[in-house]
Amino acid sequence: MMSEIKMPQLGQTSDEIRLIKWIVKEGQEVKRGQALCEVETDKVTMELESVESGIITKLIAQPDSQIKTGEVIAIVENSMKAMSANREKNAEGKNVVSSKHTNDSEFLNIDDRKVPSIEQIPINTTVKTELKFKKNALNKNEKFTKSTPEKGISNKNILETTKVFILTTKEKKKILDEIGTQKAVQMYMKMTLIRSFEERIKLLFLEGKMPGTIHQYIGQEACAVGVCSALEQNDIIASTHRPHGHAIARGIPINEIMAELYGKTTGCCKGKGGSMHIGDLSKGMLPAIAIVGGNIPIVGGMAMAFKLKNQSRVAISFFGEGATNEGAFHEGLNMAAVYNIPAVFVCENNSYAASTPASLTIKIQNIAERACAYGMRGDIGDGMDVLNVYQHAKKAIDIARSGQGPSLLELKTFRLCGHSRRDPCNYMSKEEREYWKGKDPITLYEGFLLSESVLDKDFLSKIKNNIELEIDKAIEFGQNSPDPKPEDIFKDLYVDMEVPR
Amino acid sequence: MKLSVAEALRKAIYDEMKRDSNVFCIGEDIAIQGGFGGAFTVTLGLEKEFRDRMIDTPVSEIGIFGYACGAAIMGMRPIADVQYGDFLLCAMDQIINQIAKLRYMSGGKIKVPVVMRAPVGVTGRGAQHSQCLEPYFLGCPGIKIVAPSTAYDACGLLRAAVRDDDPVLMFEHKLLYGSKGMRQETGAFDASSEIPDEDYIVPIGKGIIRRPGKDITIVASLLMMHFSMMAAEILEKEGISCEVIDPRTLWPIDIDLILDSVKKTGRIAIVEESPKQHGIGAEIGVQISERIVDYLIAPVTRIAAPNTPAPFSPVLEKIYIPQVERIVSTVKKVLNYQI
Repeated sequence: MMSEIKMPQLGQTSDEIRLIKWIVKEGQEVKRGQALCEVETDKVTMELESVESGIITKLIAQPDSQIKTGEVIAIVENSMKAMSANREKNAEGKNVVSSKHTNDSEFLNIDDRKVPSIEQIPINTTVKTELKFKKNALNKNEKFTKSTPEKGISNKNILETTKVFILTTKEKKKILDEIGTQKAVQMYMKMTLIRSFEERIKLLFLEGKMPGTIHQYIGQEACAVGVCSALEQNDIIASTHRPHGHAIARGIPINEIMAELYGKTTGCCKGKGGSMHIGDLSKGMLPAIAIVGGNIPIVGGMAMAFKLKNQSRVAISFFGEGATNEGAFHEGLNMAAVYNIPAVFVCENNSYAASTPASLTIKIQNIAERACAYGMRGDIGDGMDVLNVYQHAKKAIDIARSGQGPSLLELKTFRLCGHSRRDPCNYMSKEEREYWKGKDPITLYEGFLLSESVLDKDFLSKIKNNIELEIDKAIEFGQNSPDPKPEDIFKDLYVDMEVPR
Repeated sequence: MKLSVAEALRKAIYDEMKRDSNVFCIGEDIAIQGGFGGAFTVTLGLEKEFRDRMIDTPVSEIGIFGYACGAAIMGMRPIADVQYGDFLLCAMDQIINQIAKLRYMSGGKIKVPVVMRAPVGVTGRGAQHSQCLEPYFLGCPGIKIVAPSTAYDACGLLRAAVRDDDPVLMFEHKLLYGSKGMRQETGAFDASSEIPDEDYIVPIGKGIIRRPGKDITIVASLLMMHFSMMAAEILEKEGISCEVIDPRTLWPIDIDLILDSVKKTGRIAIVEESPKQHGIGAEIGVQISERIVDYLIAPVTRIAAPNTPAPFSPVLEKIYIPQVERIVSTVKKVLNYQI
């Protein structure tokens, strides 16, 4: 079957897009998500990804020409037969890739001695102080007692200082022994599910098949999965405008998430929430709060309720480093410390608030240092290593549950995708992106599990295939679920009264 | 027993905390030993019996309403309190984006039964402590808004608010809390009532005819209700019969009560202590126009504050607030209207 690839709507305003050049050739086989061509709108230059897999039979649009939204730019051959053949080939391909990596000692040997050690990297005074400071803090496992110098953080410093927190293979093995292989594999599956889910819906958005907007979690999977794996059933999490990963990690069924993204009645919020409000309190997640910092005082209140009701539950707030510049963060954390409530404030520091680097808005190196201003416990974890996150989160959660008060847990991580749909991340340097791609939490964890023989390659490809199938089903479920009825607009606002009309 | 509004509110809070261990108070200065029980003595002394459930906060309005929101979601019944209604504006995200919307955006899966108490009224404190903020919140679906003008209603509405599963914002008037002792201040108005011993509530959404009449309907809340009653008294002597309606709940407003009255009188004046622009009078006026315009024998009239911030100067403040004389003269104009 032949499929047409059309120019999607790029951004809110532009419907005239310039095709700069083709990256692929006629006759070439492309996969969904593969870059096809470079395009330019009035705002950005970006690579346009293929929404189809198949063989390029014709490139219609001419390089260096203006294309209108909806115009056919290429034709792809992708019969069902070809597609399924392609999928089988893919699965085999994954095996091949894995066995290739088996021979690649560098891939499997993730012993951190291979990573340039901190000594090898030119260290400025800020980093040195940080090391000393961090050592004290971590050894005592407790409060930060002083702040680092006032020098602004460059991205490079962030990259370098995160090495301080990296676990050795020996330490990872110890955590693996603690949690057991079953849980370790579950964590891997959750991370992979998040990644695949995000990759797939990204394409659905680009194809224009999904309404609204999305903020994706690619690259930060270890944070959500590490923290949620340390929770108990009755605990509650609260998320942000970037909630898909937290929702999947917390166990909201992906059918319900997908249906919510489509605005359907079978969604976890009956289609009234959408991408930025995914959640289901009955499954341990407040509908996500899409105002930056907005969930922080709410989580404080939930934890306060646990304390007032004498319940052994913990409330978790997820937010980014940008949220720590909000008044809600200050008020929420101060009150949490004063009331000594069972909450953990998890700051996923991905270095960028939308496009603004943290170095422009925050003068300290580590967000966790802000804890000391409230007399609260602060801690830092490696947000690219799920075992590291788990270890730090478990500790903070245990402390909270045992009545010893809240923590601010900073996880150094990175968004390996745009802030929102169609963000080409032109504000990030290539070097920086490459560095963090090298720390891809799924690749690293996968390598570790393989090297520890927790997983083998066959099982791995089974997992990946199953996840793809599960997502296929979720997409079908979402697409085929019923839309809300017009009168539903008046439902679900008040508990015991009709909406006055 | 006869209680002032502040005492009646205190009684309602006490009774509700006694009745339900999930009820708690959270706010600034509400339960400090040797303090004043909130800015207007409402919670005075409650900490003696309910130390754990009287939560004094830092000066953190986002925190107060955010914490109340989270606790309510987890099954508590918070009564969150600001010293002056004006400070609600510091917490607008929590009130408008979170408290009012969480139920809807969860698809009706959660409840946010927060009670928010806020003193309003133009009372010699200048532009940032004297606002009547009702219109700011009336444009926000998802919260119920009540405004008691008597001690009886204050007690009954607060009980109803605590037991209501939706967020309820209660506006209280600074000059109506009490007129004696600690509550003595210029212009303070005696709104005390006989409060029955037995448990009662004033249902949310139900207005009341304070004074029946046949020539014109006057709608007014809080202090303006009392001013309207005084105006009606004067007008009665001049042969004009006013029907004074106190909506008691501003949203959902008891519009049927008002419409029925206007069908009878054919005239209406809405008295507002807040600026005229986009106020509750505008909403009521348009609803009348949409639904029963044929009954009108004179234009809908608003008697409101000017479209400015509240001034400090006592001379200007007196002009700002709709006084009894202004109500009287405006009503006369409406009565004299000839088609």
